[in-house]
This record gives sequence, C-alpha cells and structure tokens, in this order.
Amino acid sequence: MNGEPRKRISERALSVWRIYGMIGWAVSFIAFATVIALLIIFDGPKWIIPILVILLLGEGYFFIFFIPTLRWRRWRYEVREQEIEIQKGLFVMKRTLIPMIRVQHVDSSQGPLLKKYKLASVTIFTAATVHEIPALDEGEAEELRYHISRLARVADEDV
Amino acid sequence: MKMSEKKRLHPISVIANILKQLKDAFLPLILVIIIGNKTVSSMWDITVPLAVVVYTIVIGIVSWLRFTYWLEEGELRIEYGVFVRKKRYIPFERIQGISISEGFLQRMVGVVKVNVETAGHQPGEAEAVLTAVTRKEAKQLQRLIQKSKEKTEEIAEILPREESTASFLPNDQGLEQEEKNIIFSMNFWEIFQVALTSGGAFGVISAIFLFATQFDELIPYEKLYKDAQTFIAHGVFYTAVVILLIFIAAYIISVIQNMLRYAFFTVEKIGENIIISRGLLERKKIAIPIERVQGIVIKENIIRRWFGYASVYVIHAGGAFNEGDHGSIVLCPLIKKERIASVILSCLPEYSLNLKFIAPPKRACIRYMLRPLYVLLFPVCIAAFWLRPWGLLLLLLLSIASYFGYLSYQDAGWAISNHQLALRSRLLSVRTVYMLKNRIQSMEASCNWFQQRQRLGTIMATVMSGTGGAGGKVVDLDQKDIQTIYTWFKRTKGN
Repeated sequence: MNGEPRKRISERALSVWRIYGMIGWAVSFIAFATVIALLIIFDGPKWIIPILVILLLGEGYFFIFFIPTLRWRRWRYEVREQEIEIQKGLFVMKRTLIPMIRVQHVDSSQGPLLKKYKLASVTIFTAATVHEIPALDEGEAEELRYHISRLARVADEDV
Repeated sequence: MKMSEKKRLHPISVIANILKQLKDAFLPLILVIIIGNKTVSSMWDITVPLAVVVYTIVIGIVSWLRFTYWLEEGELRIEYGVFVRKKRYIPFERIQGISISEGFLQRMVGVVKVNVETAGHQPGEAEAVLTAVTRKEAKQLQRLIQKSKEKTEEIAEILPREESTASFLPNDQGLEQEEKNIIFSMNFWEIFQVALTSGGAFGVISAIFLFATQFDELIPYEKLYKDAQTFIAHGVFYTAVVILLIFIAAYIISVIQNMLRYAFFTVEKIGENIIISRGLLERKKIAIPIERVQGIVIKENIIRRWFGYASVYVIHAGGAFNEGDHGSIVLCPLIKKERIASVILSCLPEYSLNLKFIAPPKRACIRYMLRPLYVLLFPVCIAAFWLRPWGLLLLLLLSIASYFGYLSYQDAGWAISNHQLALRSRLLSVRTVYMLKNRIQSMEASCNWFQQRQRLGTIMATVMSGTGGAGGKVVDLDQKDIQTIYTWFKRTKGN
C-alpha cells in the first residue's frame, strides 16, 4: 500500500531488542546445556546433541539478529494534525489509523534498560484500543506525548 | 493551595499500598509456609515471608515517593513507577467523572480517595487513582474539571459533541414536549419463534457444565467415569440417545428461559433516548441515549436466515462509572429483514442500511474454504483414524466445514457511504456491522505473507472496547478495496 507513514523509531531500539533477545537466548542456553549435560551423563543417544546445538544457534540468530532487524525495518509511524498512523508487523503487516479526536490520553514510560539507552515508549489510549510506539528517543517521546496531547484536545468533533 | 505544583499523596497511602500488596501476596505466602513446613529447615519458614514483607514495605515507600501529581495546562498529570517510570497526562476534557470515596484508612487521617475515569478502554476501572488527597484538593479538582467541562459544553452547543456525559434520566426531559412512539414490539407468537431459533441450548449445556465444575469436589467423578465406561461399553447407540436426550432437555429449558426473557418486548423512542423494556418475571428497562450508540449489528443465524429473519443489536458505549449497560444490546430479537430499515430509520436515522455490498475477489474463495480446515483437519483425522472404519465418515465433516467456509466467502463484504462503513462477515451466522465514521475509534489494515502473494488483506474497525460487540472485521478483501476503506477513514488526504 502506498503512502506509508514516514518516521522510524530510534535506531537504538535495535540494541535494546537485541539485548532482550540475548536475555531470552541465555535462558534457553541454560536449558539446552542442561539437556546436553544430562544426555552425556546418562549416556543418552548422542546424535541429539548436534541437533540441539543447531537449534540453539538458530534461535540465537533468529531472536538476536533476524527479528529485531526486521521489526525495526517494518516499524514506522507518523503523527499528523488529525490522526496518528502506525505501521508494524513481522509476518503480518499491520497499519493502524487513529483519529486525533479519538485519543483519550497519552502515557510515556521508561524501564531501566530503555533509560540506559535514553529511550522511552509512548502509549496512546482511545476509548476502545491501546497503541504503543516503542523505543523512541527520550526527548522525542516527550515531545510526541506533548504534541499528541495538544492536538487531541484542539481537534474537536467535526460531526 | 496551588494545584500546579508537583505534589505527593498523603503518607497514609504508603500504608494503603502496603496493605493492598500484602493482601495480594497473602495466599502465595501461606502456600510457601505450608510447603516450607514439609521441608526440614526452619530458616526457610522465616526468611521467605520476612523477605516478602520487607520487600513490600520498601516498594510501598518508594512508590509513594515516586508518585507525584499536579495540574498543569488543563491536564491532570501523574508520574509514577518504581522500576518503570510512567507519566500519564489526562486532559480535563477527557475526564468523564470523578468519584470520591473514603475507606477506613482514609477516614483515620481525614483524607479521601479520588477515582478519575475517562471513557476508558476498561469500563469500571479508573484511569487514575489518587489514593489519599485532602478533601479540599478533591473538591478543587472536581471544580476545575467541571469548569473545563462547561467551557467545552459551550462549544458543544454549536457542535454536537458525543462525548458529553449522557443523561440517563429520560424523566428529566419530561417537562419538555417529547415525542414518544413505539418503534418495535413483539407478540407472543414472535417471541415463541425467537425462543425456538435462538440456539440457546448450547448456553444451557455449558451452564450445566460450569455448574458441575463448581462442585467437582462433591461429585464422585471417578465413580461416574467408571459407570460411564461400562455404559459406553454397552454401545455407542445408547450413548448417542442419552446425549440426544440431554440436548432436547437443554433445548426446552432454553426455550422457556428465552420466552420469559423476551416477554412483552417493546422498543420506544422517547426524546433522544431509546427505551427497551422486556421480561415477564423480572421487568427490565434499558435506556440508551442515542448519542451513545456506537454502531448497529445485524445478526442472521442459520435457521433465522432461512426464514428471512434477523436480529438487530446496538453497540452501546455506556456511561462513566459503569452507569447503564455496556456492550451489545438487543434492539429487535427477531424481525423480518425487510422491516429492519424502517425500524432503524425511526430511531437511528443517521444510519443507512440500503447499501450494495462489495464481495471479496474470486481468488479469495479458496482461502475462505480452507480456513475452517486449519483447526479441524488434525483432530478430525485423528478421530477418524481412531474410530475407523465408521469413523472415516467423520471426514465428511471436513467437506461440510469447507462448505461453511464457502458460505462465509459468499456472505462477506463491505460497503461505504459518505459517513458510514459497513462490514459483513460470517462464521456460522452472518454478522453485519454498521459504523459511523466519527464513531470509529481506530482502523487497522493488515496482510500476512500468504495474503500479500494474492494481493489480499484484512480490514478491521473498532468502535468500542471489549470482544464481541467491539466492531467489524473482514478478511481476504482485495487490497485495492482495503486501500479504499483505509483512505476513506484517513483524515489527511493526498498522502
């Protein structure tokens, strides 16, 4: 579809997502390592080990490199005078349109990891739905929240 | 007192927080202690609960320190969060109401608890809670919000604003000259038909099942299972007969239930409200302000569709603080399809139902026919294999499912007019949703990899929170059509 939203989220988001991926990978590394250790100790079938190693490496590549990159590349948003548009999706491409007059309020939030990378996320609430723009630059997030909050109030109904 | 400075809640909220946290942690804690008793070390018994208590106290204090609120530029602003820092700014105009309450703790130190509610995504759940503020502050907040409300009300006189709080008392307008007319009603025979065709038997059965699971301790299941096993051994035939009997009984119960529920069903329009009253034993009356109607849903289930009947629902947004009913409310339980347009015209004239629906493209047909199989294929094949040779007849089920897929392809469609979007889809019953452009909260166009290859996509529009009566969705439309709908909703053109 043409007329995609123009803005991308911060490139530092990529690093944060990679770290999330690494944390997940570390957990499965421990699990896989335990299974392999048990196989060796109890003299289980050895042919499973290379399969497990490949699976683990595959998972690592997938969740640390492939998915974050794809996700970042797909993520776009644009805040216009009368509406907010969001585009995202890994395997299912989604485009969402939120009219400014429907915005109820806007949150911004920042966890420890996001804070370290000077990032923050913005969440937009309508009366029915919730939409998140993750990992924006701190200042940008603040500005965006301010901006949306401003526009959301100015835009009165044009019934 | 200046409200524009950042300030904290009354320290009593620390205790309130801790108590609430402890209440949540109570059960797991007991569990830990009980399990701990079985292990040998007695250190465990003390350390874990102690750690939990210390943790909640620390968190309670820190979260109190971190929670600040103030009023600035016509917004209620709150910052909070221990690990994740959150900022929530709510414009006064968006606040639907404020409720002030005082619990035991609050009363002890003479403060109040303030719940701030917007037309939020979760009805009944406040968008912001100020656990302990002085009464004076609460009043001030209330006043300020009222003032900004009045300001917008002035605009509202020129522009009809839908968000203004609804009046739920049709009597208030009684002094004005009001038109009152019955739009729709049903006689005994029609109500009987509703009850017969409602398909409520499944509801009754699941209710029985739920009821049974509530008392699973009392019912000797193991014995029952054994009995059932010997019983089934007697033959599939007997089992089938018993199941059939249960279904018939459930069906009769549901018919009676529905008869009672829909007895004396009438819909009136009084002023700007739609009043629905029904019920024999328990008379129920629902008032729906027209400005709170978010959309219209027309449902045709298999049997009713056969006879050219349908049922009509309105999606009602409810009011602040759970005032009034929320969700899909039945406007006409059973109505001849030809009559729907005239009923809607007399109570919700903004909607137009005579539209020509545009169907999904031919190439989507195969996807529609395959879709029911994704879920069914595997279990049915297993069952067929298990019960062979006769079980192979189950494979017929797959073709029936596929046929229903074909039916949903035939019935799916969309239609837009100047200010209204209609989406029609079918699972077993056909569901058509009519939504006004200015009521749609958000719209989502999506397409997955398989759809992309065939230039198909899915469109979804949401008018209200919650599942069920939340909006409409049509899958596998032509991407050009999706683009048309999307652009129709877009307010920034030429982009």
